[in-house]
This record gives sequence, C-alpha cells and structure tokens, in this order.
Amino acid sequence: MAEQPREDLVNLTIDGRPVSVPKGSLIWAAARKLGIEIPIYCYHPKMEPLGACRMCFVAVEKMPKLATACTTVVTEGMVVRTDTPAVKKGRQGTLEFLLINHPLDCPVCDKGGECDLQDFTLRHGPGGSRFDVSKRHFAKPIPVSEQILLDRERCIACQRCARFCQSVAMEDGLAMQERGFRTEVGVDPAAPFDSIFSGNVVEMCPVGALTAKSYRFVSRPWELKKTGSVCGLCSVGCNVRVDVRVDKVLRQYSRPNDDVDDGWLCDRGRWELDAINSQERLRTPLIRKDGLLQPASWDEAMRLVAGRLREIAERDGPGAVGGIGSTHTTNEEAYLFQKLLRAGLGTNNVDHHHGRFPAAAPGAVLPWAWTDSIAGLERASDILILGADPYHRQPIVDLRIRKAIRAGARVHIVTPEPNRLDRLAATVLRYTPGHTGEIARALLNVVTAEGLTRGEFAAQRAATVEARRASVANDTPEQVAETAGIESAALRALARDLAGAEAAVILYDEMATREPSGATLAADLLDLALLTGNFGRPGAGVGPLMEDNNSLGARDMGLLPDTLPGYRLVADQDARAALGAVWGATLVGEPGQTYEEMLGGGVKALYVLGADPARHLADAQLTHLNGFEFLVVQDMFLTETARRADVVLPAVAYTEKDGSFTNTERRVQRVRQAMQPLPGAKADWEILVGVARALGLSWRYLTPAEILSEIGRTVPLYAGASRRALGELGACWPLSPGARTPEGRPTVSGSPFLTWEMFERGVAPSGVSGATGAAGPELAVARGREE
Amino acid sequence: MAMDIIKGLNTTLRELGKKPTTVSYPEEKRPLPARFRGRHVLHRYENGLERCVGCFLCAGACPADAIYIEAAENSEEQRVSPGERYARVFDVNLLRCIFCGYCEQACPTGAITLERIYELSVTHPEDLVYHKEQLLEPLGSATRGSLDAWVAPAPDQTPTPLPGRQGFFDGLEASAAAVGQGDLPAETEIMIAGDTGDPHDTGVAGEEK
Amino acid sequence: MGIDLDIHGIQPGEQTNPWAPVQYVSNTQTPRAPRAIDRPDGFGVLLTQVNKILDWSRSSSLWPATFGLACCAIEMMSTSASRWDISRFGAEVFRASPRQADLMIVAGRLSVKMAPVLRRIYDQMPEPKWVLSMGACASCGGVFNNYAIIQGVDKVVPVDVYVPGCPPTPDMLLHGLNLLQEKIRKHIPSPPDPLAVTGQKYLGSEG
Repeated sequence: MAEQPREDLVNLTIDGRPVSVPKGSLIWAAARKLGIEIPIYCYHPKMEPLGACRMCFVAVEKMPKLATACTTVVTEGMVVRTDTPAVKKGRQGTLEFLLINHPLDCPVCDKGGECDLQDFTLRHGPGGSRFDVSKRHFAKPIPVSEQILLDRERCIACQRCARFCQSVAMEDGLAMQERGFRTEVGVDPAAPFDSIFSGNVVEMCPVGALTAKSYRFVSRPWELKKTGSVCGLCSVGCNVRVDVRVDKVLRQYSRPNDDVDDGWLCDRGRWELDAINSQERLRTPLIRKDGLLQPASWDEAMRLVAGRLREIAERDGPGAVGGIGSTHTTNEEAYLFQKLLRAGLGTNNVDHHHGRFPAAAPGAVLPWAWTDSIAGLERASDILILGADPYHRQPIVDLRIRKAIRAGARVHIVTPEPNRLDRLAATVLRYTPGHTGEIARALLNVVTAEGLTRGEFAAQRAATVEARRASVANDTPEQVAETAGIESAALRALARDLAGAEAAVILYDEMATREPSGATLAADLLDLALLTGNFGRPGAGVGPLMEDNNSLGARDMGLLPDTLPGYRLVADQDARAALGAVWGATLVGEPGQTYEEMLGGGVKALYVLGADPARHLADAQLTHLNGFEFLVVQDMFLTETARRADVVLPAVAYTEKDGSFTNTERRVQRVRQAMQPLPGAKADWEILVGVARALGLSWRYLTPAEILSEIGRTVPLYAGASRRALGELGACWPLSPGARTPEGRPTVSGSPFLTWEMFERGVAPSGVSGATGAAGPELAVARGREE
Repeated sequence: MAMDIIKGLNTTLRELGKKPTTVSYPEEKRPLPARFRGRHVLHRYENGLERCVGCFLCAGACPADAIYIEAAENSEEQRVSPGERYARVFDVNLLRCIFCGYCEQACPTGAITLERIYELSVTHPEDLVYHKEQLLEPLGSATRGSLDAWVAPAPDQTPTPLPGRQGFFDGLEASAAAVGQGDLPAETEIMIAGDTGDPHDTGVAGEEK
Repeated sequence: MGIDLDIHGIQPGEQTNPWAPVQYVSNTQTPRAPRAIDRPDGFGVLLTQVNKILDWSRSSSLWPATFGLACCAIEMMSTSASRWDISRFGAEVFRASPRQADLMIVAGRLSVKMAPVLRRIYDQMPEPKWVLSMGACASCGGVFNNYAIIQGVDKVVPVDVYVPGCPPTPDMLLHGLNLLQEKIRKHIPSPPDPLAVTGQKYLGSEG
C-alpha cells in the first residue's frame, strides 16, 4: 500500500494514544488501527454507515453527548475516549435494550460461539437486566430462501442483511418491514431471495437470526478446525476459511482479500461441498483383474502403473504413451504430471480437456490471460461482457462488476442468454449462440474502418492497424447481424463506446473460444483492446473468465502438448536444454498429441489425472476409450472414465492437500490442507511422486512447497514463487522475487496488470505486433540463473 | 533394645483388638463421598423427554475431548427433547474421560451428571465408548443425579475443611492475588442453582468481604 | 506399507459393485488389531480339567511387575496397602524383576521415549503374561493427545484389561483385576501382539 501524503492524514488521539488516519475515515476505523475494539452491529466495513444500533458509542471531547464511532468522521485534533464511565454506561444501556427481546437460547443457536451479541454482551454488557418481563415469541424458523432460515426473535434490526441485498448484491432479497418495535426482516413474496450471494447475510448477521439450512445444528464454532485457504470451486479463487469438523468440511467462510473477493463469498463456495464429504469417494486403489476392478495396495498399483507405462513406452516408443491433466489440481501437481511424462517417459503427449486457446498466428503460443485484475474493475468506466455469465460461473467477479456499477461504470452485456446483470446494464444485446467470434471481429471492423483507433500503440503501428483492418474488412456489423442475429446499429454504437471509453474492460468466457467461430476470438479481442487504447493500466484490459479453479495454472504449468511450463515452446532448443538440465533428462522437441488426438486412439497407454473425458465424448469416441491397452485414472470418484480404466488411483480434494492455484486474474494463491486426507487416498502429487519413483526417477519431493520452489526457479512467469513468499494473499504473475521482509521472509512482487511491453518481452500474443513466439529477454534472465 | 521391642509390640497389641481397616471390596463396597464422580448419566424430564439439547457445551468444556455429539432437529412427529434441538448422537469415550465433572458444570439444562458408577473395566477398549442409549436413564425415571450434591454446601463428612477456609495462611489467596485475581469472589455457586442476582454473593454465609 | 485396512464389502471375484466404497469407518478411528477369537480347546477331558486347575492357579497368584509411570501408580500403591489389600487376590508380590512377574499394570502415560522400555520389560516377562492398562493415559492417551505420548499402550503391548479413570480409584483397579482373573479362568487368550500385527519395531525391543 502506498504511503499517504502527510496532508491527507488526520491526527487524533483515542484513549490517549495518537493515531493518523486518512481524511474521511471513521472513528471506528481509527480505533481499529490502534487495536481498540469498538463494538458494532449495524456498521460493516464494506457498506455505508447507518448508525442504527447505537452500540459504538464513544466520548468525543467538546461534544455534548456520546457520538457513534461508525458515523463520525475524524477531524484534526479530535480527542476520543472509549473507556469513560459514560461510554460504558451507554453501551450497557444499548445492550440491555437489545436483550429485552433477544431470546437466551444461545446453547441451541447456530451462531452461539461466534455471535457478536454474545461476545459484546460479555465484554461490554451490564451482566443483568432490569426488564424482568416475558419476551416476544414468533413462529420459527421461517425459510427466507432455499438455504437460509430466519429466526425473528433473535433479530436486533441492525439491517446489515437488507442493506447487503440492496446496495451490495443489488438484487431482490431481504428488506426491513414495519416500523418501530415491530421492525423485522422479511422477503417480498413476489421477489424471492434467490441470489447466489445470499450466504453473505448469514455470515454478517451479528446474531443468529439468519442461519444456513445446511449448517443447521451441525456443529458449534469451537468444534471446528479453521484453516485459511482458497476456494476451489470456480476460477475466481476467493480466499476462504475452511471449517472442518473431524472428517467433514461443514462450510467455507470468507477470508477477506480485498484484491480478489472484497470480503464476500458466493453460496456455491460457502455450502456446495458435498463432493468432498461424499461417501462415494474412492478409498483404495483399484486394479482390473479378471475384468473387474478390485482393491489393491498402493505399492502394487503404483508398480503396475510404472511397469506398464514403461513397457509400452519401450515397446512402441514414447509416443505411444500420453497423459491428460486436469484444470482442478494444483499448480504443483500439474507441473509434476507434465514433468513425469516429459522427463520420465520422454513424450510431449500431455494436454488437458480445455486445451490451449487457438492461436491467431500459427506457431505462436499465447498466454491469454486477463490483462487487468478483479480489483481493477472498480476503476473501469465501461465493462463489456461478451458471451460470459459471471453471475453463475464466476459469481464474485459479478459482484465486483456490481461494485463498479455503483462507482459509475457502464456495463455492456452481449450474451446469447439472459444475464442477471441485464437489469443494471447500459447496453444489452442478444445473439444466436455460437457466434461470439464474429461479434468480436465486427467490433474490430467498426474500430478500424471508422478510424476509431487511438492510443500510443495504434499510433506507432499504422501498418499493422491497416493489416488488421483488411483482415476483418468483411465482418461488418451488418453482415454479422444476419448470421448472429444481433442488432447492427447497437453493435456499432457499442464499438464507438469502447473506443471512446475512459477505461474499458473486455471480458469473455474461456469456453467461447472453443466455439467454431471463436478460433481467433482471444486474439481479436486483445487487438480490440490494444487498438482502442484500453490496455496496460488499471481499469482497462481484456481477458477471459476461466472455467475451473486452476484453468490458467494448468496451462501455465505446461499441460499442453506444444509448450513447456511458462509457455515456452517445446521446439525452443534453449528452453528445452535449460529445463532438461534441472530435470536431469533430455526433452523431446516435437509437439505431442492433443487431447482429441490422444482420445482418438493416438496413444496406446493413457494416464488421466483428475479429468473425465468419457463424460464429454460422443459414443463413437468412447470405443477408443475402451480400446486403450492401458488406461490409468487418478480421481476422487469412480468416474465414467475410471470405470473403463485398468488402474484407478484414489486422489483427494483440494481441502486435503497443500499447493497453489492460479485464478482467472493470474493470481497465484496458496491452498492449505484443512483436514486429514481420506484414509486410503493420497494427494495427486504424492501419487505422482510414487509413480515416478516406481519408474526409477530420483524424485525427492517431500512437500508441495518443494515443488513450488522448483517452479519458482524454472518457470519465468512464476519467478521467485515459494510457499513462504506467496504468503496469505498471493500475487499476480508474472512474478518477480522481491526483497526479504525484516523477519527474513522472502517475498514476490506481482503484476496487477499486464502491459504491452510484458507481452513483447515474453511470448508474443498475436499477429498485431508481428513478433514471433521466440523467447524474449525476460526468459533469458531466468535461463541464466538456472545455468 | 528390649524397650524397643516392647514399644513395638505395644502398638501391635493396641491394634489387635480393632476392626481391620481392609474393605473386602467385591463383597463389601465402601461408602462413597457425596461428590464422587463416576460414569456419566443423561437425565430426562418427568414427561420422558430428554434434558439434553445437543448444545455441545459439555464437549467444549471437556479437557480430554472425550465427548462426541451430533445434533439434530426435533420434529412434531418425533420429539426427543423440548425445544428445537436434540442430540442424535452422544458418545462419551470413558477411556479418555478424566472424570473431572466439567461437562456437568457446563450443562445448561442439568442433563449430564457424573454418578456413582465406577465398575467400568473392560477387555475391549471399544466397549468403553458409551453411546446415548447406554448413558440415558431408563424411560420413566427422571432424576437430577448428583447435581444436588454440588449445589449444596460442602458435605460435613469432608475430612478436612475446604482449602482457604481454615483461618490460617495457606498461600491460596496470595497466589490468587499474584495473578491479579485476588479480588474475585470465590466460585461456589453453579449456574443451575437459584441465582440471587448478586455477583458478589458467594453463597457462603457469614463470610467477610 | 503399514496396516492393510480391513476391506469390507468386496470379495474377490464376487459379482458385486466393485467400485463401492470399501471402508465405512470414520477418519478418526484408529485401525486396531482384530479381536482375538477364543481358541477351540480340542484336548480331552483330562487336559481340560488340568487346564482349569492351571488357569485357576495362575489367576490366583498374579505377580505384578512394578511399572508405575505416573500418578496412577499412587493409586496402585494404595491398592496394595492395607485398606484395599490386593493380597486378598494373591497379587501382592510386586516384583522388581520382570522375569518373576506375569502381570504388568501399566499405571500412567507412556511417552514415546518410554515405549521401548515398556516393550522390553514386557518381552522379558515369561509366558503366560497379561497386561492391565490402568487409567485414561495408559489406555488411550487421556488428556495428553499429543506427539509425545503413545495413544494407548495397546499400540505397543497386547492389553488384556482396560481400567478407565484419572486415576482409577483402588476399587476400580480391583474391579479390573477381578475381570482379568475371570478372563484367565475362562481361558480367554490375550489379543494379538500389536507389533506382530503391524510389523513395527521399537528400538531396543528385541531383548
């Protein structure tokens, strides 16, 4: 965080201790900075102050009455006291009033143990009550949504939930009803509370009025083992606290990381953890004997896998062996998997089910990634969502877009299906599914044909702009309107908006690039951003919203047939030599088979890690899957593919192992083990190390941290990455080693946004620059270090 | 020398006429102290409903982590305890248990008490994990267990007075003061007793502050 | 590769669902040696009667090895003193040498460092021999659920009788002793040796 200029700081004293805070801060925030607790119920740091609960009383000198710390802005020379008898009496009075009707059913309340009312009553409360009258009773609990129950007796009318629904989620949901002492939380029956962000109200409710159905009476906070980790259910990578009781994940709570999740978490990440707790999970390796999968020991299974892979590789050449990786496993595991195949078996036949983005220029390998960050959305003036559905696929990005809307951004939604953001959007355009690529080209056509290009980049490269204009000359909005069923005038207006925007972010769905028309989608949109000057600064950028929690990391780690970790081409002699020296192997220079080629029968033995190709394949291809001479599947469940396998190795979920994920904004974050692995199952990296050792490789990894350190040494994008350096919050790649902290902890510095220079220095992304896929100076630096 | 033998024999002769101190244990059982803590018992209300509401407070208080509970929700068709919540699973691992009685103190409904059942040895350790069915008192019985023994003042048969009440310096108060708790009233009341509302009422008559 | 967990549900060659979960126990359950099965006594009438006499004699003169590890030992001493008088059961002869003892009362928590010593003393006791685990710590670690304490001496030696308590009162210990006597008289064998089952070895336990 940058140091504030001195004139922007306000000096005040709280309880006799001086503190300086930025202008406009609240007394509550200043006290928090000093570590002084001021109890709050209605105030929430991420929402506008309300001043309804009267809990945060403080005494301010020269003010006749007690002031509320959550609404009073600090002024220069202010003298605040939080410990005077008047303050204590004020708080005690407030609590006594709050407890008039609050039932004392803490032992059976799900919030008991993590309840603000409980805690503050203990710390600031009167200890007794003068209101010796019977309490109000309501029918309870009332379901306010499919997952949330309301207990009106417990509500203290702080309005946090209602304000969250209205001002943060900006959706229908909870609202305050009635007036005075009859005030209660309720839902309009005509506007059901079905938001995917609904779980946040349960977390922020300071009492047990809103509780989760899935957590009802399941546990108490002191029974839970809480581990800070990263959610593995979508590509946003929200920071979470995994709450585990004995051997079950009961829920995930948000763990604020303002750069990623802003302190919120979606319902999926909060409660949809059934897969981890499933009884169907595999608990022993299975080997096919007499046509049936039968339990076997780890030793036997690993030896069989290694032996058969080696046998087939020696008999039919290394090209007869292939591997399909996963977008769900950690970076470390993806790295080890491709290392096993490349260094251990000598083949480049390694891919994953999304494959790489088709390149604009043949031979160019493109680290397509969001060039800006999630937090950068707040600075955007225009946000284009093309073919994506962040509400359902990347909910917390959607929530950040809503925050950007509140900050004044205009959102343009161009999607085939209705979108939850339509109501808030400036432009809403629908088109026939499958034509996303054409729309991108039409936008580029308008920008180049109408001469809307601007910015330094376009000014310096008139020739490439001209070449680009020619390449999309036929894709006028009018023509695309016919095929894609979109309004041409609106498309033109949209292109002009983007070109005239102060800072525009263009977001598209990763899966849109898999459409027939999407072959050049990523390159076209990158060019669109470059030519309209929306690039290389916070709040302006372009990028895909990834599908899975580690979609980007899997590519970064080289789960691609033609690139080594860090997007260096396998054809690149220097990169091969450098990696080979570290790995102690000679690497093959020919690109391997792709996902489709391998599944089409291009290999004899296939090692599938955490993927389920059988589910996505047509019946004709399924016969190929049955036809493999040797099929190994490593997964948590007996998937469709695993049912056809010769050996099944049981893996564990992301809550049961350490590692790192790379989210859609390129942020590398640590995942931490929150529970014991399922008995009988092993983490993917452990299995890979076991198989490698059975193959005769001298792998000596004892922890994922060692693998991450090796990644930090060998992958230029992840330079300096290590378990300790990534710390609690992670950093966006390209990483570079930072200075050590005074305690001696290594750090890495990330890049919140990508600039064109980084692209040029690294791997060139598209035909615009005319650069080739050759390695740039940054790679050379890394290589020099290795040698 | 001779005197010593006579002295020794004197003691022998003196004790000869007395009843032996030995308790013939399996046949004869010694009278247990009023606050003896043996195996747990879960109690019921007069109407047969269980007192336990599955609040986990005993499990939280347990220093040995010997109590495992899974709570569930009462329904109108199947009502196990009054209120919303009951303990579906209530296991006490008596092998871990150290019979400290904290669970009894923590219980908000007086559902769990440590009773005078102490003949617990087994040949298989699994048998010492007592489940709810074994711990519950039989249907039709609704006792309070040893709660009363704890609410009442210390019993008279205590061989020595409670520490700190002997009228001479035994270091107890001094060490309490040393850790900054010297002015705290002694805790002789437990939650279940009638609350006088006065936090300084220690429940001991005639004690001077 | 450690203990092969007991696999339920799938019999080799059986035409059941081969991918059903093979283990239903919770993560927290420690794999334990399977229970001993009573061994069939197929020797005629005479030997059976001789066995009965032998078992009765053994049960009535259990000589404990002195193995007080912690506070439980105080209660064990109290049990041998006049009020409880363990000699009523023929067990008053606490021997300092394991070679003269046939019952080991493990009284107290067993640290990892002490485990080889315990095992060595157990190995030095002549057959037939029995182990009584006294108190929470010896039986399962008790409150000391940490790296330093063996979570139950049954991980090191086969335990015949478990006595709960912290510490058990002399009554409780005597109840355990009576239970052991009963077990001996019924000729119920001890559980299998945990080290033989798991194949583990403790340093210095060969003696």
